[in-house]
Amino acid sequence: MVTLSGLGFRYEKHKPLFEDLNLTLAPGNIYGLLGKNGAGKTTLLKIISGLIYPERGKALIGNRETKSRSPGIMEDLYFLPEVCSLPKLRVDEYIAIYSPFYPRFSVDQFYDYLKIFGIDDESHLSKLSHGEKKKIAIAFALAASTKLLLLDEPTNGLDIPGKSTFRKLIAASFAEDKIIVISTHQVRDMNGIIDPVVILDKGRVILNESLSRINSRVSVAMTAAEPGGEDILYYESTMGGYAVITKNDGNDDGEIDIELLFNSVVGENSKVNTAIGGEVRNVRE
Amino acid sequence: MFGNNFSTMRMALLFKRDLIIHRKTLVLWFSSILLISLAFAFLTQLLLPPIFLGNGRYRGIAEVIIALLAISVSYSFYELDFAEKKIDYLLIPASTLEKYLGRLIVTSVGYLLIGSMIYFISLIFLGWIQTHAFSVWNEKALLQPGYLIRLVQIYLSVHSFFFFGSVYFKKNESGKILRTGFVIYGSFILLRWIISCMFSFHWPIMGPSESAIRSLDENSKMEYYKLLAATKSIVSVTFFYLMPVFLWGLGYLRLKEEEARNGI
Repeated sequence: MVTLSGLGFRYEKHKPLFEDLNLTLAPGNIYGLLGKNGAGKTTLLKIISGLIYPERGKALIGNRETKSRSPGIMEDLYFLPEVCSLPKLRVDEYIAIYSPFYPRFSVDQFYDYLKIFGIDDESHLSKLSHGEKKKIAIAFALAASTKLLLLDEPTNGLDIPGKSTFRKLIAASFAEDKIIVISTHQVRDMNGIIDPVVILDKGRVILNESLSRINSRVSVAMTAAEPGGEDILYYESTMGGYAVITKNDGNDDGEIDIELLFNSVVGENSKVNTAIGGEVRNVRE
Repeated sequence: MFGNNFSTMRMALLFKRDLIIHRKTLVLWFSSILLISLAFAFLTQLLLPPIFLGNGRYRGIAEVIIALLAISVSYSFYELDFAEKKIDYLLIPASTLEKYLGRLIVTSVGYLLIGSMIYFISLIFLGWIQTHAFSVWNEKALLQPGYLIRLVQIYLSVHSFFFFGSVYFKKNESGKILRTGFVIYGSFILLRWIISCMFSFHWPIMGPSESAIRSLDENSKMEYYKLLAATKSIVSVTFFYLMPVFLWGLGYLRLKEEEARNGI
């Protein structure tokens, strides 16, 4: 369990990024962390991984503060940054020096993942493209089998087959005792993987909800004409019409598009957010 | 398998990681130090007038090696200067103590051993230039235990400046490291000088008055000199032993506070 309570943080000479952020991440979930540019997604992942210390509040994994960066915490946590740094080594050397730090690391799994990604296991890391390096980093992150996996924009730089492979591998490597957090702007790459959805806006968690609950509360329809009426919670123009969100009266078992969901909840006084949770869900469990 | 915050096993893994990643750089750099040291030995033999060659200590081979090793030490935590490398390094599942202590041991003891090897090879080379025979014993002055201990003291003092600087100053700001070193070393010289003045019989402002001096018998004067020597040695011990420990400790605390704050 990851618990962020009363979190306050600001970068030097900037206004506060988080003032009283509360969030709980439970095992058995692949969280999608969404937010506008500058909302603090990467900062939040860094705070969770102990790379940045909060000014106020606590970031806990279990009952241990992450800022201690103690080996006990770090060997069960893997943070894959958007731009990863790999040393100028052969793949086998890379594995030989990094994998022993992770007690549950599976070398066989790593090489299997490389094979699935189509990366030659005798490659030299300095000779690979950015996307190929990212595939190796993802393979390592998954093979490390840590209980908490934080991925920052993991599909940036991946080719189209790579994105699809990524989705498959995430699904295959997931277990009920794990928490995976994927921060991304590429929500379409994550369709069918992320659930629940966590949305950050203006220094707060404005939504932390499972897709099943969201879908049970709201439904989406496409109309050709501009919609009107009190039952309309949100609408936006799309190619050839309007995407409309209304309250789910229980008859619709369709799934909401995450991009549409995001756009509908980040505005002021979001009716969608109210319909989903009855309040801004700044969870403190 | 591992202890909680300190494990020699994890330190060994960190050492292995550093060695494999930097093996080429290390071989290249230490070979360069050896070449520079040999060239320096050769040039001093060639260029310096015999009066300087009478005492091997003035050749400054050891000092050149120490200066070059100090440059290597200033890169001890080079990862902290690069956003992605820093994240990679801080996330390695090992405690700050293991990361810090590991590099402290490698750069103090390890570099000192490598530096000593380079020094002895340079002396053999020097012996060969002088006598065309392979022997370091031509330069006995350069191998006196007192002199060697002094060199170790100097290396550890210099090491503490640069090791601390590598954690504290960003982008390996050698200028700032050197300035800090000069300020601390300058303070040490100044303190020793002030102490000498305070105890000096020939310093009218700070030293004892002439009447006080006249009142001292020979035994008292001897005691007086002993006191002066003891005070000076306290300052020296502080500088050569306690200050490095202080700077190493400060560096550890700084590394513990290190964050990856670049980018929102």
